[in-house]
Amino acid sequence: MSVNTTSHFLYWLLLAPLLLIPAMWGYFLISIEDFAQLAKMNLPLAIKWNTVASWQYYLVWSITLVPALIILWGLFNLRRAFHAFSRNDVFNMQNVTYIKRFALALIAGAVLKTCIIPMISVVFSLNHPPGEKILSIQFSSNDFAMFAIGMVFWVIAKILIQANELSTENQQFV
Amino acid sequence: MRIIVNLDVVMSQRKIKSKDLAARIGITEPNLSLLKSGKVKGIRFNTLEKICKELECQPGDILAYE
Repeated sequence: MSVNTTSHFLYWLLLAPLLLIPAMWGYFLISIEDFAQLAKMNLPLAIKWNTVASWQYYLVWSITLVPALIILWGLFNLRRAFHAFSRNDVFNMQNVTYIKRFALALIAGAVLKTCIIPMISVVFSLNHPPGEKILSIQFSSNDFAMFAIGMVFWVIAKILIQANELSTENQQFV
Repeated sequence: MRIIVNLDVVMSQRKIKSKDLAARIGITEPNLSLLKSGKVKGIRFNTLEKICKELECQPGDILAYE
C-alpha cells in the first residue's frame, strides 16, 4: 500500500478512538455506578469499597480524564498529520508540529498515568480509618512502552525536520 | 565570481520559445524561467543533458563562470 492509501486509512481509523473515548468518558459520568464497577474490577488496591462515597468516584473520574484528554489531543494531531500525508503533503513544518504534539501527548500521558495511581489510591482510601489509608505507587510495562513510543515519535519528528530541509533544497534544483 | 546561465542567449540563437523547450525537456515553464534567470540552486545532470540535446549545444554554452 502506498503512503497516501495507508495514511488515508489511518486518518479514518483514528476517528474511532476520537469518538469512542469521549463517548466512554461521558457514559461513565452519567452512569458513575459502572465507573465504580470498573474501578473495583481493575484496581489492584486493598480499598474498602463500602467506605467509598459517590463524590470520590466523581473525583477519580476527573483525575483519570486528564491523561485521556491529553491522549485525545495527541491522536487529534496525529490524525491531522495523516490527513496531510494522504494528500501527498508530507514534507512541511506543520506536519512536524503534529507529530511532535503526538509524541509529547504520549510522553505526558505515560508520566501522568504513573502519577494517577497514587492519587486514586489516596482518594479512594480517604474514608479508611486512620493508619489504613493507602498510597500506592505502580509502574507498568504499558506506561513504559507508551513513554518509549512517544520518544520514538519525537525522534521521527526530528528526522522529518531534516527531510523537510532536503526536500526544500531539492525543490531549488531543476 | 559566480556561475552565469546563458540559456536565454542559446535559446534566442536557436529561436526556440521557453514554452516549447520546457515541454520538450519535461520541466515547467516557471522552473525554466528560474533557471534562465539563475535563481536556482542547481541543475540536475538529467535536465542539462536534455537541454543540450534539444539545443544541440555543450554544457559550457549554457553555463559560464566569471
